[in-house]
Amino acid sequence: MSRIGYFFALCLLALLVRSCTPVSVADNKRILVQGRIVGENGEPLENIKIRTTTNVWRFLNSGLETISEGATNENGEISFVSLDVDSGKICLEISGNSNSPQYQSFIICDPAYSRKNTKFDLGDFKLKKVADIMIIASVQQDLGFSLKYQNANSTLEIDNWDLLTEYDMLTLEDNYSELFGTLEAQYGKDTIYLRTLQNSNISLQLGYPEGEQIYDLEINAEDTVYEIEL
Amino acid sequence: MPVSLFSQEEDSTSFKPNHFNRIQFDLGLNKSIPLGDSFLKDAYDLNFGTDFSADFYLSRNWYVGSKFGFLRTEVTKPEKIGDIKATSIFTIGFQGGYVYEFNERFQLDLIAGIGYSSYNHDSKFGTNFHDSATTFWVGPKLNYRVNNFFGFYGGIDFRNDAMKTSVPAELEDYFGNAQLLSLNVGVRFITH
Repeated sequence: MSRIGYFFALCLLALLVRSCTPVSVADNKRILVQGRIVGENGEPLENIKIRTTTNVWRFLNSGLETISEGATNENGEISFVSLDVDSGKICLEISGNSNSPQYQSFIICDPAYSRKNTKFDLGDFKLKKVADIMIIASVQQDLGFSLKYQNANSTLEIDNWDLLTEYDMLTLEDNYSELFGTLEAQYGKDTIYLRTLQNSNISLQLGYPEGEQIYDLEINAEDTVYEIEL
Repeated sequence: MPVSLFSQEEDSTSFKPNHFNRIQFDLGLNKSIPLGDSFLKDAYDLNFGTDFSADFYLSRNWYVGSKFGFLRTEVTKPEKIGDIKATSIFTIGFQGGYVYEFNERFQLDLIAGIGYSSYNHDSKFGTNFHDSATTFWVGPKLNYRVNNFFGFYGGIDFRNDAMKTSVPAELEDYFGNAQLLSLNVGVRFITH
C-alpha cells in the first residue's frame, strides 16, 4: 500500500474511533440548572426552552446535541438536572425564539474540556423581545455600509459559570454583530431587512467618498420601519 | 456394598448443627422498594433483583462472607436524573451473620454487611457512565432446611447507598442517599 493509502486508512481509523465514542459522560456528577427567565420589565416568561448541549462527533457529522433540557413554568422558573461531559465542551442554550412573541436566544459555552461546577445559576435572566425591522434609505449613489446591531441569537463564551448572572455586563460587545453591504441607488431607495432586539440601538455607518457618516437608531417596541433620508 | 449406601442416605437426611469451616451459598430473588425522598424513588421503577452470597462459618452460630447483587431498573422520569435511558445497579461487599436456631429445621440469620455499589447508566448518546456508592445493609433471613445440605430462605433487608455523586447543596438530600427495603427469597446450599 502506498503512503497515501496508509494515510487514508489511518484517517478512516481515527474517524471510526472518534465516532464510536461520541460523548464521554462524567461519572459521579450532576449539574443543577436553575434560575428565572424574565422580560425587560421583570415579567416572568413561560415556556422558554433551556438545554445543556455538547459537541457530538459521529461518523459523518458532528454538532451540538442536547444532553438535558427543561422549560420555564408560569413563574418563569426553571430547574432541571443535567449530566456533564468529561472531557468535552458544554453549552447552555436559552431559546426564546419559539415563543410568541419571540425573545432573544443565547448559546453560552464553556470552552474548557472539564469543569468542577455543579450548578449553572441563571439568577433573574433577562430576555429582550425580537424586532424584525426594515431600514429604508433614500440614496442618490451606491454606498457601502456597515451596520452594528444587537443580535437576536447570541453565542457567548464563559469561563466562570459563577458569573453567569452577570453575562450582560461581561460580554456586552459579544452581543453585537456587524453587517456589511452596499445600498444601491438604482431605484432611489434601498431596504435593509434586519432581525434585532426591541429597545436596542443600531449604528449605521455609511462610506461616502468624502468620508464616513454614522446614523444611530433607537429600535422601539412599536415601529418596524425606519426611513433615512441621505 | 449395601452398608455404604445406607450410611450415605443417613448422612443426607440427618441435621448436623453448623460448625467451623462449613460454607453456605445463597442464591435468591428480591423485590426492592425505595424509601425516602431520593432520586431512586422519584425517577425509577425497580424490577426484580438477584443476589448471591457465599459465607464461611467461624463457629456454630457465626459466619462471614461476601455478597453480590444485581438490580435492573426502569427509568420513569428521566428529566429528574439528567435524561438517563437505563440503569443497572451492581453491588459487591462483605457481610457477617449470626444464626439463631429455633430448632434443627428453622433458623434465623441476622445479617449486616458493607460494600460498594455501581449504578451503571446508559446515556442517550449510547455511551455508559456510572455513579458509585458505599452500601450498607442489615436484616434478618429466616431459613428452612430440607436436609443437611439444602434449604430455602425468605427475608427482608434494609439497605442504604451513600452516593458519591457530586451535586450542589440543593440536591444533596435528593442524590446523597438511596434507601431500599428488599424482600428476599432463595435457596441455600451448604457444604459438609
